[in-house]
Amino acid sequence: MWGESAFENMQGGFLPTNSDPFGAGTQGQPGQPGQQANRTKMQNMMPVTLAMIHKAEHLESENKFTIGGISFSQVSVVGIVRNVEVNNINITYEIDDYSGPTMEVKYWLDGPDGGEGMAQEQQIARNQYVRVCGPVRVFQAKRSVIAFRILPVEDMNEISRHMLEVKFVHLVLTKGEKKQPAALGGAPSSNSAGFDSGLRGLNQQVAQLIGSCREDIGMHIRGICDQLKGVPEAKIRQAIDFLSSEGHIYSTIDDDHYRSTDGA
Amino acid sequence: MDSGYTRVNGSLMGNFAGKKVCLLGKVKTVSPKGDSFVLNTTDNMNINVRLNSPLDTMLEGYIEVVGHSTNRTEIICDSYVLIDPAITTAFDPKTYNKAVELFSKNNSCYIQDAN
Repeated sequence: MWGESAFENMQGGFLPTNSDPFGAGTQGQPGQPGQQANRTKMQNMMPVTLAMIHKAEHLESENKFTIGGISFSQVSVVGIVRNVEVNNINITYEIDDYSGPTMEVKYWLDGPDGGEGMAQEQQIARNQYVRVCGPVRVFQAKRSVIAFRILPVEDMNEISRHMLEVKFVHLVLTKGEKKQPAALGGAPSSNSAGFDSGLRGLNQQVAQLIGSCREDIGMHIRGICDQLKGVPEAKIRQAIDFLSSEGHIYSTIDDDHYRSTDGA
Repeated sequence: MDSGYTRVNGSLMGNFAGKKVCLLGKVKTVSPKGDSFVLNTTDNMNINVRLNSPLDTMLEGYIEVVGHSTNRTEIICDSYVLIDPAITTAFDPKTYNKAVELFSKNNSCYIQDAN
């Protein structure tokens, strides 16, 4: 890999050259955008609707399909079987998920499990909901899906689930990951750093209050009691003892003033 | 490209008057002549479904209807699929309802009528 380009241009193979179009000798070199030394196929499977497959951009040279800039190699679709055609080498299904035109899905019978698989696949009938997983193919401008797996839907909830998955993945990929609200962790941990300190309930509230105080001498316990009206002072002292022993806070000028060890 | 049928629930019917829609619901009543039936949707609305040809089979349980909506409470049915009761035993209509609402918000995931 390094050897050829080194001998070709006698520069040790470190510098980008025209004779090295695949960038095999230039890994780690800046200024070589778009050249991938790694030629492995992408293995991502995207939950999609048939309309998305029809609308996806197809890069002929690399046989890549992209939606919104994200490329995928396999798809997962949930739809109704409109038609079934069986022959010796494959079964062709026509799948409809109401999003647009129907799509042809081919299931090849020469796979390792072709023999037994066939008995199972023959149970897929018209007007039955199925899930199809597999790559997309284009032939003479007609798109189709090869079914690596085609399974009958056993629970109607799969349809709701697929719709949500499609929408979610589509939004995440086109708009980027939104910052998850910290509340998703099960207990509100609205620490400004978004870090879940693992504290719950009163301990967390006290820690938060003390953390919000930026004074050198820290927060007086009186201040904490005022903020957490309705909580007896004894409980607050307990929380403070716990937090202090865990190392979240420390006492400053006296036993009534505490400061947080976290953050700035 | 042929447009698809947008999945709707009872309340969304109003937004799609005249358009191609897909409605999932439970068969509530069938007209005596068999040329229409009433569907109860996942958001508990009753939609009237008019058929092109009278029914020749008994309809009950969950059914998926595709067709054109004429107004907020009626669909002219192009075709329907009677859902196998075996797969609807644990069906959660609320989740489906929410999924439909989210899905129909913009049409990036399906092909809509050009108008």
